[in-house]
Formats: sequence, C-alpha cells, structure tokens
Amino acid sequence: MRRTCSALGALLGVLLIVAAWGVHEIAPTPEMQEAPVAVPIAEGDWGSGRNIEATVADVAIAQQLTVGDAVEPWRGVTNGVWIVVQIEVQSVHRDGPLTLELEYADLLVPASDRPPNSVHLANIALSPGIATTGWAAFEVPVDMPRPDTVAVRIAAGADQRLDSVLVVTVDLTTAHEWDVFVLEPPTERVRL
Amino acid sequence: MSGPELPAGAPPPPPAGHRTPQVPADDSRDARGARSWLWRQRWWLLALVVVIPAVVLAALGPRWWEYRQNTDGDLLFTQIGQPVDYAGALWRLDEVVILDRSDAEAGGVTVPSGAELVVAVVDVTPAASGSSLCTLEFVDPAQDRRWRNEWNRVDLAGTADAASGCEEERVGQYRFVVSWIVPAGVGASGQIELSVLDAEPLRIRFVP
Repeated sequence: MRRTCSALGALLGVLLIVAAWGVHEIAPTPEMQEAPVAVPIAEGDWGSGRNIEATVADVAIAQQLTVGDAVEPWRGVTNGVWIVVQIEVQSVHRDGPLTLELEYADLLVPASDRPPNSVHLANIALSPGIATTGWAAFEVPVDMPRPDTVAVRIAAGADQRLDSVLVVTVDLTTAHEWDVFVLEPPTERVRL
Repeated sequence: MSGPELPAGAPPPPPAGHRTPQVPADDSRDARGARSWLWRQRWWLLALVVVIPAVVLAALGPRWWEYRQNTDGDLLFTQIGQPVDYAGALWRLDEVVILDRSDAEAGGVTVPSGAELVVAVVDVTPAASGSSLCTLEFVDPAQDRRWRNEWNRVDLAGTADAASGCEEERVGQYRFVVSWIVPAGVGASGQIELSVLDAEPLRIRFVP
C-alpha cells in the first residue's frame, strides 16, 4: 500500500513538472502581453477602436506629389513610389497625435512627413468627435514587387501598447496611378 | 457454563480482563480511528490559503497602485464663479461663453462644420512665490470625452488685457482666456477641469 502511494506521488510530481513546462511554453511573452489590439475594417467602412475611429476612403499611386494653389509650392520627388491614402479620422475620448503606418509587403512604412504639414495627416492632433479628412503619403521602394493589397494601420497616440489599431486592407490593383498627384489640405467636420 | 448467545455475524466479546481501547469521538478520524487526509494535510492547506492570496497581492498590488495613481485623480467640484484654493493659488472661473461657428469665425477662430467654440475667463491670485503652469481641459462627462484648449485666442468684452492661458512665475492677480472647439451641443453641459502638476492627482472640476 505504502509503495503504491509513493508511486502515485512520484507520478503526480512528474505530471506537475510537465504541466508547469506546458504553462511556461504557452505563456505569452512580454511583447505579446503589451501588443496593440488590431481591429480589422474594410476599405470604405467606418471602424471604431478604443480611442480611434476612421475610414479609408480612397487610395492612389503616384510618381510625384505636389500641393494645390492654396499652400506654398512643393514637389515631392522620390526614388521609389508614393502610395497616397485618403483617411477620415477622429479620436473617441481624448485628443492626441495620429499615428499612420503602411504594411507594404514585409515592410512597415511610416507616413511620410516630407509633404508640408498643411497638406497631410501625419502630424495632425486628433480631437474627440471632430473628424479630419485628408491624405497620408507613404514612400515605398520601387525595386520590389508591388503587392496586390496593403494594410493601413491607424492609431491614436505614439504609444500603441494594449491600445486599438485600426487595420484597413486596401486593394492596390484597382488604385488609380498618377504621374503627379495633388495633395489638398485636410478638412474638419463633425460627423452626424 | 456458556454465556448468552450472540447473533450471527456479531464480533465475539472481548476475553475477560481485556479492556477495549477507547477512541475519543473525533470527526477527523475515520471508522478505524485513522486521521483523515484533510486533517493530516491541514498545515499545508492552511499555508496555501495564506500563500496564494499573498502571492497574488504581491504580484498585482504594485501595478494596481500604479494604475490607480495614473487613472483615478481626486476631483474637487466647484461652481463656476466660486473661488477655490488650489495648488497654493486662488482660482475663479469667472465666465464661460459658447460661440457658434459664425460668431467664432467673426472673432478670428476657424471652427469646423457642426462644432462650436467654448471660451472661458479665469481669474487667478497666485501664491507669493509666483504662479504655476496649469492645464485646463473641457470635459464631457456623459460620453467620457475631453479636449485640450486651443491656442487661437478669442477676445470677449473686458478680456483685451487678459493672458492667453495660465502663466508661470507670475506675481500678483491676473486673468486669462482659454477656448476649446467641441461638437455643437456639448458646450452647455460640459465641465472645465483645472490641474496643476504639483498638486496632482487632485484636480478641480468647475461645473455649471
């Protein structure tokens, strides 16, 4: 009887060690514990996260960028190609900076701050309930195969840990291609 | 001489002169008088009852405290027009004016379609050592929204000499103007929250 109990105890001990190893193996890493929460939305749909709401209205591909007559002349020449995305965006609870990134093939490209501030969204401050519509420009390499789809990542604030990131998949095969694309200043409105 | 007959299956009586050991009535013993497993392991189980909450508390307590510090400020509510002593200074939200889009643009501030401009006038009597920088946010408690003030200045009657926002190391009473662009209809029901870094997490909430 005593021998049986000892054998059962040893078996239980081994099982506990195996279970502890299993828990250790499946435990999320610190990066996973703090990862942003991706909220997938379709192009043209209005999507909501914790402190961010947005839609991607249009996308275009351009060899050069320029600005309209209302602002100081500027011309954006690149060794690559421009992906320009029209976005309407607002925050939900707090104001703060907007963060825009493009998943292009296996690259994560931040929105370019080369265009003048008055014609792009990269440096705007978000405001709760007041939507801003404008263009974001992403400069991508020309010497790599162009993917059929890319994803626009839209977030409120620079620190996205444990916060929502809207991820909008955009079809590049139907995007209009321009030699020169004109960026217009963003506009604001309250969405009804 | 034979004793009385026993029923079939009953244990035989003890021999004469033999005393049956008396087992005290005890819930921790089974029918054979052996201690139960729960009773034998009672100190380990008691230790678990203490240790598990202690480990949880030790692991999560500091982070919970940090969360509390970062999220839950203490709010002191006061009416618009009432002076309040805060961060060593005397503050009074003198006036709140809501301007629609056309009035705001007449004052030189561009307001988006569907929005309005909230303008507040604040009187401050700083501490003798001078004033501190402050933050004023417009709060919509119904939808948990808040806005930081605009930098564009709108002058109301009697505010031509007022500062644009609170100032640091200023001595003597002064007045300043702040404004916020909010969705139309929010201005009338909103509240204005004042905070000074040195006095955090205590903040002042001016209510209509």
